[in-house]
Formats: sequence, C-alpha cells, structure tokens
Amino acid sequence: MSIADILIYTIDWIFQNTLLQILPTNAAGMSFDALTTTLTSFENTIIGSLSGFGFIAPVALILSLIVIIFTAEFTLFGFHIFIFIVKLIRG
Amino acid sequence: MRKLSRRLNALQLFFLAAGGALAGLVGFAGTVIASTPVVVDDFESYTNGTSIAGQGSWDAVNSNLTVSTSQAHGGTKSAVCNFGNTCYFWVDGLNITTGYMDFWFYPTQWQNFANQSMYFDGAAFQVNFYGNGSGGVVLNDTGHWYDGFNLVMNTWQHIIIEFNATQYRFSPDGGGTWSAWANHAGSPVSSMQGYGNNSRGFFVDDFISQTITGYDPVLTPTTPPRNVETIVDFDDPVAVSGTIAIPTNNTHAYDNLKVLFYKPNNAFPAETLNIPLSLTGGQSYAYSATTTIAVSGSGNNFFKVAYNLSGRTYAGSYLDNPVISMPLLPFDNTWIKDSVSSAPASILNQATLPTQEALEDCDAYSGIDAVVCRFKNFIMGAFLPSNDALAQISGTMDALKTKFPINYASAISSSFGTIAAQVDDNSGFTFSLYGNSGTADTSFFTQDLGGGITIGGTIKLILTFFVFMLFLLWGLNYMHRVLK
Repeated sequence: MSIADILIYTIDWIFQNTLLQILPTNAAGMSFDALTTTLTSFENTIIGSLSGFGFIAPVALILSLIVIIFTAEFTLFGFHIFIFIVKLIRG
Repeated sequence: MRKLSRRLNALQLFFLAAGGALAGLVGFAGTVIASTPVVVDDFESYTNGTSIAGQGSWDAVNSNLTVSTSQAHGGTKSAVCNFGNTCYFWVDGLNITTGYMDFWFYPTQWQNFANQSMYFDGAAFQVNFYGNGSGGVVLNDTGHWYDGFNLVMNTWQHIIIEFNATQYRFSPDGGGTWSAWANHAGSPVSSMQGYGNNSRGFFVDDFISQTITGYDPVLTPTTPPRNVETIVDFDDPVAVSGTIAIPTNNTHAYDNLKVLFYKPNNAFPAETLNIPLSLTGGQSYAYSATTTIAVSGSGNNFFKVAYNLSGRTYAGSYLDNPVISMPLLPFDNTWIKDSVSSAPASILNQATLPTQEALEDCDAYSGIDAVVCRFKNFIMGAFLPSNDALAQISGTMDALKTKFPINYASAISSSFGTIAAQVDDNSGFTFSLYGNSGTADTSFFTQDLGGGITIGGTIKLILTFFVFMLFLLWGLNYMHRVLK
C-alpha cells in the first residue's frame, strides 16, 4: 500500500463517514424524483416555446451561458459553505 | 436490441435447462405454446438523440420519435415524442393472427382533443391515447371520446393490446384491468402504426410485440403469457435459482433478475414469497439486495407473480467479484412458470480509472544503474495510487453525486443543457388554440436583404452582443467575489 493509497483511503473514509452519512438524497418538500419529473415537463414545455424565438434570439447561446453561470455560482456557494464550516469548527 | 435478445436468449436457455432438468426428474409432458418476437426493443442500443426511423424493426416512415435519456422505464434510454412534434412509430410487413403489443408509456403533456392512435392495419382497429379535456389522457378505442381508462401523467404505465383472429382488447396497467373484447375486421394484422397530431408529448420504452400460436386469449380466459418459451403443465413443479455476478472494477454495479410465474387465483389464494439471498465475495463491504413480490390479477385470471433480485454493492465495493445468489426455489405444483422478462448484468456506472505512468523495468540495468532505477521506482511507487484505491474513491464520488444538493444541481444543470441542445432555431413560431395548431410566417425576418444579411439575423447579432456584454459583466463580478 503506497502513501497515495493511504491518503486516498483516508479521504474515502472521511467521505464515507461524514458527507455520505449526513447528506440526504431527497430535499424536504420536493423529492429528487419529483424534481426530475418537473424538469422533464419543463423541458418539454419550454423547448417548443423557445424554439419559436430562435429566428431573432440566440436562445441556445443564452441557455448555455445560464448553465455556465449556474454551475459557477453553485461552486462558489459550495466553497462559501465549506469556508463557513471550517470557521465554525475553528470557533 | 441485439443486447436484449442475447440476454433473453441466455436466460431463457438457463431457465429452460433448469425447468427441463426438473421436468425430466418428474417425467412431465409439457404443453408448448410458441411465441415469435416481432418487435423487442428497449432503445438501449441506439444513439441518444437519433430518430428510430429505420432502426431495429421500425419502418423508415417513423419521424420525430427520437431516442432519449431523459426518461427510461428500464436501462437508461427510451424513445420520446416531444410536445409540438408529429411522431410516428410503425412496424410494417407483418402477418399476425393472434398476438399482442406490450410497451411502457409515459405521457408528459396532452392537450384537449389531442390523440395518439395505435392502429392495427389489416384487422382495422385502433386503440387511442386521447386528451380527456382537463390536461390528462385516457386509453380508449374508437368512438369513446373522453371515456376510457385514465392514465397518470408523468408516470410509466404498462400498456398491453392483444388480439386474436376476430377480437381485441387492451389494458392500461399490465393486464390488471382490461377493456371488454371488441370485434375487429377479422384479418391478420399487417402493420402496427402509431401516429397522432403534435399536441401531445410522451415517452415509450421496453417495446415487445409477439405472435402467439397454440394459445387463444378469448377461448382461454386467462392473462396471456408473455415472452413464452414453454409453459409447464399445471401439475408439474418448477424450480429456479439465479445468481448475479457484479463485475470486478465496476462501481455501483446493479443487477436485476426478474422471472414471472403464474398461479390461478380461483384455485389458490395470494401469498407472499420470501426469497433468501446471500452474498459471496466482497464480504468486507456492505451491500444491498432486495426481492420484490408483485401479485396482480383478478377474476378468473392468473395471478402474476414476479420477483426482482437486485443488488448494489456499497460504494467502492468492487473487490472479489461479489456474487449475489438466490437459492433453488421449489415452486410447487400450484405454480406455472412463464418467462424471464428481464436480464441481469446492468452496470450503472463503469469505473474509469486514470491512466498512470508504469514503473520502469529495472531488469535491463545492472550495477549502479539498477540501484538508481529501483530507488526511483521505490520513490515513485510510494506516491503511485493503486487501481483499487482509485476505484474506491471513484465509487465514493459517484455515491456523493447522488446526494442532495449535488444531485439537484446536476439535474437542473443537465435540464438546461438538454433544453439548449434541443432548441431548434429554425423551427418557426408554432402556437396552439383549442387543439388547433398553426405556425406563424417568419419569412420576413429571414428574407435575404443582400449579401446574406437578414433582419432576423441582424437582430440576433445585436442581441448576441448584448448577451455577451452581460455575461462579461457577470464574469467580472464573479471574479471579484471569488478573489474577495
């Protein structure tokens, strides 16, 4: 077992016994299945509607940028939570 | 489809062998009912986003029904007809006197008066998915308008349509409830045609259609057998066992073995079966294995009993090639074995390990070079993670992706990505009013003013510029917040 293995198994153990134990699969108020079902309906509705504006608006571009913004904001949010937890532990 | 067929064949052989061996012991003479597949398609082998037209058994006339990963009844793919599209799914060149069509249906949006028909050419009858006037959909046949079996929106439902030489009927719930038998034109079905207008959206999956010989659903008042290879005589016992091997170096392996049995409820009451499971290999890790017993059917029909044997190793538990086993189940002579309806070995997440630099072979060196080489290998090896460790952390990360809020964020992000990929810039402006659809003429915006310049293109260019400016502003603000 290499040093890298020990490091990986340690990180793995931490994840297995902290986040994986604590984090739920479904959020209160809306289960993951309900969310995906809603999103699917939303997709089916919005795709036809947005396609209608494709001749004057860069719809695909706007949506792609929304995905980028959403991902970046979520990452920053996660980072802030991590910093908050670290500060909370340090006191 | 080939994949599914291979699995079905292998499992059918397995269970035939098991049943045959036992039958040999007790000396039975089985009644054989043969079935011939016409269409067996789970859409898993097709490329996501492609039309099913001309693929598998589907006729080239099919249009707009495309392979999708947004929903799936089994596996990861289904076929979708998006709201706003006119979709067909036809199979031509048939000659079926007695048979059935069996598939899973997932309605997503249905306008009033919108209709998706399943038309059986030759016998000239049709079964309809019809808008019920309040945003829902009913399953009925010609002339019933809003009357019929109510279907649940955004839910997979098991549709069966069966017919013999003179009559047909249909079920919205996998044979639990049936319409009354109705007469049709009385000719062999020459093609099965699904078609409708563009005011409804749905998914279909796990499509099975077969001809049946030696069995008449009207003369025999039972739920017809599905995927039948052999039905053992009622007095003969049947036994079956199964194992699931979870391949090495795969995380989150998941398996599913399903077998159907039938039992007549007029002779025997419903019962629950307890199927003990055991795990060999990978004992140092947790695992989950479940069995499901489903009993359905009423009246003079057979009870259908199915069990699912499924297992998922704990995250990272890919070691020792674990096998989940089910012991030999001595189904007594009150049971009739029907079929294997699902195949094992479905791996959810294939573990992908990063390529690593291999240690150098030092045998080619001698003296000080060999010492240096081995020292270098020692240092390098100390920091070289093993495949086992990488697979374990990979499995843990996969498990983490299924937890809130990561799974929610991924789903939302994926949804926007899907919308961005499927938006058709050239589709025009379509609207619907009371079931009537129309497309606005946008040719004014796309008319060439010379040199390829159009009004629509110019507006689009200006909007693109403003969108990029806004994105740039957001980017600067984001960097400011990151570096703060």
